[in-house]
Amino acid sequence: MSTLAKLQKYMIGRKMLLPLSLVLSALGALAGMVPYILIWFIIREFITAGTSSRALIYTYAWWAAGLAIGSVVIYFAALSVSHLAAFRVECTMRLHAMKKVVNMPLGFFDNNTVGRIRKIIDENAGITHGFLAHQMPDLAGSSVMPVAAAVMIFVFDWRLGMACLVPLVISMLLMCYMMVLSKRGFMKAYMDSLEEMNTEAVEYVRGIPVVKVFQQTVFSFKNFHNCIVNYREMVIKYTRLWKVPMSVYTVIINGFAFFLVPAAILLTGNSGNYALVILNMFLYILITPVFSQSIMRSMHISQALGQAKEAIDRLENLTAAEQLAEPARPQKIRNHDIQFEMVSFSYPGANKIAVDNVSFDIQPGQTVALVGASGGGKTTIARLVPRFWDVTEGKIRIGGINVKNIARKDLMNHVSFVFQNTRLFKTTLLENITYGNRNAAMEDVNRAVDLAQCREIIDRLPEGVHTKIGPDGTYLSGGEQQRIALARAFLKNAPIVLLDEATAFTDPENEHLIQQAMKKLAEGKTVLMIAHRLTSVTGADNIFVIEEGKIAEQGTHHVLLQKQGIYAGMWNEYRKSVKWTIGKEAVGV
Amino acid sequence: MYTMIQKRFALSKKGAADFMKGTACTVLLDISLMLPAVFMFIFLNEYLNRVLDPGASIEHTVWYYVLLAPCFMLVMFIFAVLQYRSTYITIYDESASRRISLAEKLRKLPLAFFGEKNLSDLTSTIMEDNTALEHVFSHAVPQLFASIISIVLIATGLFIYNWQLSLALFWVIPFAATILLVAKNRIDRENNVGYRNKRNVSEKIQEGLDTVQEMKSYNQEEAYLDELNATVDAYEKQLISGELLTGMFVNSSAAFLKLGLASVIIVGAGMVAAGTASLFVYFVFLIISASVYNPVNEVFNNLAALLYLNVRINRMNEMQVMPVQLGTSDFTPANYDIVFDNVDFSYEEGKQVLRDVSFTAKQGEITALVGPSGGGKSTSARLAARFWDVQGGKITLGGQDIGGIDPETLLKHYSVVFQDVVLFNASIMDNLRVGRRDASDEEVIRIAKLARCDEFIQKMPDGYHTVIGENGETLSGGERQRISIARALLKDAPIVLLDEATASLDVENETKIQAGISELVRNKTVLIIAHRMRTVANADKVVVLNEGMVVENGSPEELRLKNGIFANMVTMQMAIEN
Repeated sequence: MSTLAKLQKYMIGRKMLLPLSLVLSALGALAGMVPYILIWFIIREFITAGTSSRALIYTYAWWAAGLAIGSVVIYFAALSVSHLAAFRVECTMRLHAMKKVVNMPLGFFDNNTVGRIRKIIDENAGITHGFLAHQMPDLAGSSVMPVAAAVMIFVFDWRLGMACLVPLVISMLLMCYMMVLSKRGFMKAYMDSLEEMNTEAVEYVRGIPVVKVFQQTVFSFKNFHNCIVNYREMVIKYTRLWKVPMSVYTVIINGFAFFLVPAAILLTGNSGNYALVILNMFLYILITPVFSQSIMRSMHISQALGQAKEAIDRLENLTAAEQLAEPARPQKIRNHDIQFEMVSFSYPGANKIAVDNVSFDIQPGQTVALVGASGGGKTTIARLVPRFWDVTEGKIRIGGINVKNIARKDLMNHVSFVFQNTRLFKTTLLENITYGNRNAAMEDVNRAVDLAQCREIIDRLPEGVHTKIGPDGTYLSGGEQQRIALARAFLKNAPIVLLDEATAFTDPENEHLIQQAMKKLAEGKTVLMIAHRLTSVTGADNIFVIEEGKIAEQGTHHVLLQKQGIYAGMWNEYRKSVKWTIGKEAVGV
Repeated sequence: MYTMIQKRFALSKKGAADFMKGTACTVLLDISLMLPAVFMFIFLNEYLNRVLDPGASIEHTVWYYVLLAPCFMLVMFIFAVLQYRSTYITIYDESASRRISLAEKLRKLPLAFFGEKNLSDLTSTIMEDNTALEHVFSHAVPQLFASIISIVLIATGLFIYNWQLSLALFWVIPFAATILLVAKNRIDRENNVGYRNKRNVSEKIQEGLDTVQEMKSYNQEEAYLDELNATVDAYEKQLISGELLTGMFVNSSAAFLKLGLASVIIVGAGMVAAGTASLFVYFVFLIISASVYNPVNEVFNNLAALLYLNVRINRMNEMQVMPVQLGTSDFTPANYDIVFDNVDFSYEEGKQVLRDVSFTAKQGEITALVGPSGGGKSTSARLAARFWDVQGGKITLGGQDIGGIDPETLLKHYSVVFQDVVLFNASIMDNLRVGRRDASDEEVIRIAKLARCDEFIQKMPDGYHTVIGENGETLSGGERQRISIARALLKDAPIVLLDEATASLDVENETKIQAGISELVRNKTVLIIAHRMRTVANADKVVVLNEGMVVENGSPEELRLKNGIFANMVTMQMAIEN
């Protein structure tokens, strides 16, 4: 699909504006030429008659000014219209991209950092502006010029017309030549190196504290420095490429006179009507600056087009990843048991298998804990249930229904997940808690607050649940934020809960409260829990020890301890390690 | 003049000189671009006379013109090349050196800067500013100044040539300029609103991306998209109204200029009739009137664009004047005792973070900072390494006030491990070697084993040569923390700051690296912050900070007996973990 067609796709409701703008721009350009013809009429009056009537001069004068003003107004209208279209494109591109992005499976965000996604969406959307709002209408305006030139060739003096055509054609050829120069992958290389430099800048700044602490400023500075220099070299190399053609172009586009004058002199020699040649000459003198100006305006069209194309490609590549298929005939969830049947999964692009032929059942109301070393696949297993990714092989069922056959909304309504990277919104606590259920009754909110052990936070704040959090409001510690997120999960009250215990330890008091809240949240639910502290799993109905994507052992705490296997080892290790302390005496405890 | 230009456009010294040179070259080019007109007028002067007075003789033949044309074109070409080189090419040089000087400046800022503000956002904004300036300075600004100069020169010449017709030609300019001046404030205001709206959209997008997990788990995609739609809608409406407003003023001024056409035609005709001007002069002015207003209009447009740049230029200048920390690089402490002496500190006015904090961290001892979140522990640790300068009291190292020591000199004596680990998009080996550039491979690997990095590094595709992505994104939190501990081990400095150094590790992994940490802290001055009480129970000294004040201070045993905050925290922790 051509870039223009792609752009038009985003011009929702304003598709006709672009052609309208092109027509207006062409009209404006034509109107802009008339005053010069009127001036020429005056000159003709004087040359042929030697004088002119006052009334006629006044008429010409006002018409000339009037049409010149008219041309400005029409051009303004053309640009306004093109801007309307361009703004729509810019905005729609953002909206569409975000719409696609939020409908991506959550696993998508593992591969694309938030910063990168935002940059791509936010920056590329605006890049199309120059091309649509300015370059396109200007191109339409300048494309009228050859037509006007042709008319002049036939209507007035064709020989002078040809003389005009020479620089016109040369300059257009030069433009094409320069376009070809820039087409050779330059635009992509340019934008790549710009992006690389900007990324490196962020990395550099983020790393400053580290490199300062380690006296490595020169080392990290070098990378950034190289990027800057690379970018400079690339742009300068490219700019040098343009130097000669661009300079010739400047000479030619301003140099119509150099072609017209000799032609006129030759004509005066051959043609009998000396005065007529000189007279016609004036017309060409008056009109050619208009040619130059409008051609100059559309000079950068190929650059703008290249940038627009790159921008669209970047944006569409970002969202090209496959979205999760919605079932054609979704089935309703009736039961809340979870069943893994020979489930295998590997991350796209990874050669290692992350989940290897795992099967298990969790009965409604049961709590199952996943334990094991980090990197073993615990988190991946849990995240397959709400379809962060779809399984590579096997089936995951909820209440006997394959999760792929459950409508996304229905699935999400039945599953709560409390993961470590839970985020709060920069708004009031109340809105944070009622997120997803704006009309919740206040008593339900209060109950959720109590169950999530958040009462103390709210009582402490002057405006209670109406306190704003974030940079413009109150600061909450990491542990407190986790508790608020738990309150949200209480309010949702989904029958299936996926819990990911935070690895990082907050202060003891928060830690204690969070554990209590998690226990309460699990009551009466089907729970799959990723545990990092073995003390929190002792009460689980079943414990799976996950190693290298497989279930290595399973059973209750006591059964597993008696087995004297991996779990028992982990437990002993854990018991020992909680006694460990930093310090001289600690070594060898 | 230089310094003014330098400041006005956030240029380097060389940049200001290049800018002047570029402008001068553009003026020369502009004037040389008059040559075709001169050429034309030479011709008209000669041949028009023949039309009006058939008896007049022709002095120059076609050959004269055929030879003159290439000469003129050559002159134009030379100036075009000069101008091209002096603007398009030098500006990228200037841009590069501006970026580099910015990078230099950034690394001299107080370290605390990098935690407090979202400096990476600021950086990317400034990098964008740079690109925008680069574009405008190659394509518009020298041209603008040159146009003004050439227009003034040409106008002066014309006034000398024939002042009446020049007046008829130029009287519109002051009025058109006035229209723009009047509009300036409105346009400025509109620009500011536009800028805010754009930020809103960016922030909304950022919010959506940050919270996408919640959004999906609570089925709020549509609600979010509706909100985004509304934000984008407001942005679009504002864009349109801003564009229309600006366009209206700019185009009214452009239209007003065109009135000059009428006045030249009328005044000139009158003068010809009265015999005060020759036909040739009249025609010259008619021809000039056909092409003089567009460059003037161009100047106005570019002036508007220049106004738009002010925000960006100011941001850059602001960056340049941010305070840097200075101090002597002559520092050889007698010992490594860190003493906080009645320290007061706040990040922003009115929000006191530390109040009258005094304690000593002795060389060879472990001093633990404990207390609730927000109590001032991390701030104290960072102040000890002069990440920020204190506002009251002082902090000394070996008896010398650290406020007077150059930060980089000071930091030579520190090993620092923080909870937020920053890694580089480089190989693991390079990341570890950040600790000590000249460490041998064997040394790095030995330390990596000690910090329990070796086990996960071995599993990576290229082992120690695996590149770990932007900010080490391919590693887990625990792995990152182990690398940062290894880095600190490699540096082996006499003072060690550990701020939640092991918080991202689970209990088992924390235990595993105990040998490493114990080596790291042996015989050093150690300041440690940890939430797990067990990590600090064996410290030589515990300082409890609450609400920015030291509330308890003593050995762990003493404090446990006191039954205060520390004792309470220890009890609570035992309950959780056992």
